[in-house]
Amino acid sequence: MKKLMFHSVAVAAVAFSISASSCGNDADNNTPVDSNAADTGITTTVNTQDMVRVPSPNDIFQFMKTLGPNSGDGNLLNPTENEKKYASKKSQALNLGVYSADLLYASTFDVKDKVLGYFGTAMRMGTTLQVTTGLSDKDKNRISQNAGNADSLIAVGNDLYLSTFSNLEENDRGTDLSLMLAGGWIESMYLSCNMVKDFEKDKAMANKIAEQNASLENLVEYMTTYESNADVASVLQDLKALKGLFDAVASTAKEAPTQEKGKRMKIGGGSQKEITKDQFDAIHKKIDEIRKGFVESN
Amino acid sequence: MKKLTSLVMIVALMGIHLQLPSQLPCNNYHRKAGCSMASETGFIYNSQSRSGLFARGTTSKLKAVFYSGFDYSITICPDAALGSDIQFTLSDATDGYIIYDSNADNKSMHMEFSCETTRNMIITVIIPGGAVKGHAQDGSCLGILIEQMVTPKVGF
Repeated sequence: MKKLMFHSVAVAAVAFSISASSCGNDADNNTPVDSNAADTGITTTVNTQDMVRVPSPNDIFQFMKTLGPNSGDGNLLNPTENEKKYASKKSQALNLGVYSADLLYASTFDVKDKVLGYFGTAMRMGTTLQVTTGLSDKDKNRISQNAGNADSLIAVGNDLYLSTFSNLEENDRGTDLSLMLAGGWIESMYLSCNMVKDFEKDKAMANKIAEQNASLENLVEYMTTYESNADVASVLQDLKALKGLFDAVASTAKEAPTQEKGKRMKIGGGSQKEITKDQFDAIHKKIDEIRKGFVESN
Repeated sequence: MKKLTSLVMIVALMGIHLQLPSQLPCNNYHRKAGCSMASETGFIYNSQSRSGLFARGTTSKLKAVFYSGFDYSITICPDAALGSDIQFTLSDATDGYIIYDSNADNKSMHMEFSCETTRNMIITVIIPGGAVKGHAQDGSCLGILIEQMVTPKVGF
């Protein structure tokens, strides 16, 4: 009888520890729910968890690609050899984002000979950070088999990024996810800024970069949730300084009304950015500085 | 001694936090087959899509970036237990102006649009209170699927 009771307690302890860890453990991300939302048939505006999203490197590169850059420069990417020096959790999370962006850049802008290497590096960085994705080394075969197919290469890179993102989010690893998002965003912007070779000729592209103020706003908002963490706070400080430079860019209100055109609404309004060369140079310089801090950290 | 060792093991077990691969039941619900209501092929997945656990009588907002030069498809995919009277709106993130309201569109769960300018907008999902016939009142999954394509060029 004593033995039975003892074993029951042991089983209960295991069950408790599993169920306790299944619940979200990131108190920062939850807003309280009104438990009085009852079955009255009346809508109550009870807030569940509100969400702010940041475009992925793929979303950003697809946006830049609309202006025509078809090929990229593999020399701009963070060398895969740097992987060995990232010892701290902060540098690992930041550079998981950096390498994920590099993989997507290589896939999107026809730097095909780099794709396999960056896929391997991004996978290893994820393993180091104990991120479980549905991908494995077998997915390297997808890259080799589809070396000439940009859409397939982008799909592999995207699958890796999104599954990494999902795993961190599901497991309430908001701090690591914040840093990964920051690394991916800064690397995407660094690579995008380098597409502007001549400001006057490439002004449309420079304005597209200025429009990324919207995604930076969301990144800062997301990261602010985790700013009690010192690593997140230090990165956030740099991003807020950068935000100040973006905010200085003038914009012109667009008066075009919203119209219904068949099945697809055309949403007018908003504002158009008009960046100057000095503003672009300042933003480019700040992004370079932040990026250097990420890739040279250990 | 044996009992002490066992007691220590029990205490240790209670301190272990086991990381389970999927701690959210609705993960990637928006990627399930049949969710997308995009009107044509060519739309691709946008990473700002999201799923979550919802209950009757709740509201949730998703703030996302929408780029000029792209067409977007937004589909709301709710579990049947959440009912068919779900409302969603699309509003400007700066001033809250409601650009689209599904209640004025036959309670549609899908809409498509293009943007003149890059901007942040908020998708708000509003689930009325009250029970749904034949379903328990536990939380159920709802996905917000965002898809995009480069706005087609028209003319010569």
